[in-house]
Amino acid sequence: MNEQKIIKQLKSGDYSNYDKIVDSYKNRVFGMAYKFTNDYDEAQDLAQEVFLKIYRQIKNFREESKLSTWIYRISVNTCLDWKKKKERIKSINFSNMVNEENKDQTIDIKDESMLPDEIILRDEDQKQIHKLIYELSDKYKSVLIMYHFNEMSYQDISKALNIPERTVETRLYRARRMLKDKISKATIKEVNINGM
Amino acid sequence: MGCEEVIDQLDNYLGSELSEIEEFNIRKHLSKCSRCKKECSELKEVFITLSAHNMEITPIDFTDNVLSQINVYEKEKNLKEVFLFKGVASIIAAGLITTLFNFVQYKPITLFSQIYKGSETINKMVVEPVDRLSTEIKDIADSF
Repeated sequence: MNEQKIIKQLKSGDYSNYDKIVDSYKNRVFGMAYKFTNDYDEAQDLAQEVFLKIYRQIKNFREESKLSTWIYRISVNTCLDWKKKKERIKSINFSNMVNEENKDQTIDIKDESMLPDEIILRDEDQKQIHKLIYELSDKYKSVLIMYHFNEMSYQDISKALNIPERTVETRLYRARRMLKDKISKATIKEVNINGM
Repeated sequence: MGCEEVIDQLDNYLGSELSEIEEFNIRKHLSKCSRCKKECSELKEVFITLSAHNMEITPIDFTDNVLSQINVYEKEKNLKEVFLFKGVASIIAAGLITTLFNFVQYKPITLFSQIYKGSETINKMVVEPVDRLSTEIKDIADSF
């Protein structure tokens, strides 16, 4: 069943195929949530919240943009709201213990075809890249995730974030330069450690 | 094409966002300019790193969890609707009963005479100032 039909069904109050929408977008929505939270459980809760919002608001979807654009807009807004809320709580508590506790949380990415050592190295690389993206500021992180991981065009990102296409381009440009610097710094650090 | 323009377009070049002619011009510049070529290869590394990065995979029971949350939401919504309907219905019923009791304790003649008196008072309140004003105008006119 194609997406258009499912949208029509949902709008008419038939939610029997909603699981197909969840299955199609869950990894990307969850991936985005994880890049914002850096916490597997929080990301899960946040991604579930996104799908509940989509369920509740599907009747408001006017089909002026692609469904994916609309879903990622809700995702990024939910992630930004979560972050704001978290920062408010942090400023009240004067503590960031929650993040510290979850800093070392690992992601279980399994690949049977690899040797254990290779898996460890690859997982380390993945964690390193995740960390570099996580450390970017929200406005750069949002466009980077949307373009590179959610395969959205400049136009779709511009619609989702309600910013001009030129701004999307500029933010992507800066985000990549920041990543480039971070990667080269991390490489130098690694070389120094190995050389000792 | 100058270096500045090429550097500016490198992202679009690596993201395959350019036309064939634009791509050709950049390729041509890169083949001659070592500085831009270095910049391009460093940036290409970022593109490769990002494309090689696996997005995290959701737990197996993710969809089921979403659907059960939706069930809970639906149940709560239905409950709210039932309570809201019952609440509104009770308020209307209570209102009707109160009105009925209020009316039966009066005789119709008393009730209508009260309504008449009320309307008469309101009429007086509206008419009196206009009346006073017209009398004053009449007095002024008479004095001339």
